Amino acid sequence: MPDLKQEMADVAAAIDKMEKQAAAPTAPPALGKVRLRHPNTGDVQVVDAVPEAMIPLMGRGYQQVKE
Amino acid sequence: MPARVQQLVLGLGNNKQTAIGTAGATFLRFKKLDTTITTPKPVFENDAAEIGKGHEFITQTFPSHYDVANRLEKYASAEFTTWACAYGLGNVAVTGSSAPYTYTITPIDPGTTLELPYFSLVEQVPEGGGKAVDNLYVGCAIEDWTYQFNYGPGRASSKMTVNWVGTGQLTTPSGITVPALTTENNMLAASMSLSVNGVDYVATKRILSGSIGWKNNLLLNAGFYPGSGLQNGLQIRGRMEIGARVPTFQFTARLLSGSTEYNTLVAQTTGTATLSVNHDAGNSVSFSFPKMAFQVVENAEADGIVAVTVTGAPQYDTVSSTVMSVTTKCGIGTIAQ
Repeated sequence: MPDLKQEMADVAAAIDKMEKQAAAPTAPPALGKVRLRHPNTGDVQVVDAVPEAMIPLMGRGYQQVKE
Repeated sequence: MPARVQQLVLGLGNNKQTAIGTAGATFLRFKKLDTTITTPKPVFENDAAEIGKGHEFITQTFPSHYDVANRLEKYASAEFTTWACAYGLGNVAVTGSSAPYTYTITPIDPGTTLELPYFSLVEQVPEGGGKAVDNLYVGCAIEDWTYQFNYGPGRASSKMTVNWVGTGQLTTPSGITVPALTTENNMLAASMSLSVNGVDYVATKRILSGSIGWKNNLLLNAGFYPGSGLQNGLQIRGRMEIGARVPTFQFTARLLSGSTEYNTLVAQTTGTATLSVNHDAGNSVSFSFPKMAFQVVENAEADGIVAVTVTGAPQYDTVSSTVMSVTTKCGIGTIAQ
């Protein structure tokens, strides 16, 4: 039972860490760049703000991060 | 005193709603061509078919649900086409710190969401110092849009049509002050560039007409799920998810001796297809299919000139991870944001 409690605490801490990372303020991307984030994995990609670079990521579900 | 239909004030949601049931606060006022006024149609069922009454007639009615839907037919401006594609495809990125803003738009990835961004829509018809119609429809989504182009002069050469659906949630009176008409930059077909499977149909002066479309096939019945909500005792939708989406592309071009359409069909050759129209450098729309085969090629005629009508078969491209994308430029930077 203590193991289960510890495991649950670890999971809660991991979720909390992930949520804080997602909400953490970050510097806006450089001029001409755009930040795209996948809503499920949390992966963030900074790419040139041109359709050729953005579309392959947006097609896979990445969404623009509002700076 | 009756009202004329030209008095219709149409406001389309600018920023997307924060939730399906939360009305948007910003609107873009547009003119349109069709004369339809949306009806907040409550649907009732009855007991006519039920047995045990002694007859086949209605003795009782029962509230069922709200059915809200309508269409928007317009000359294709950069602003309205951006609005339609942004809400109709769903994944929208806006870049640029000042006008013109660049929109990069792709279909939503069903691995991340099945719901498009929702918008609010307001219709008002002033009459006799009040309003004959004043409805705010909350939680609307685009069922389909179609961009059409034709040879011939004027704005009619380039049109955009949208069919939208509502959850049924409405506020009457709306309480909305719709802003002044949006300044639209119409894109005539004469500005078009069109390249399909390596053929430049404008440079060869062959292109006559065509259309690009997108249909979401929204799962409307599934929106009435247990707990979806009631309004005046009638069900309203709590969600509108995409079904099997269908991109379409069709064009008619003059048929020449060296025309490759039939060979492209038989060989099932694939290539890119890009159609661009613009008003000026700051107001434009470009539809792009990364991988296009031909589904049907039929000989036709237009004004006595032999032509060919091609129905494309847009394919999902694993390199660009999409079946189509739309890139636009316009002076409004907040559409579907």
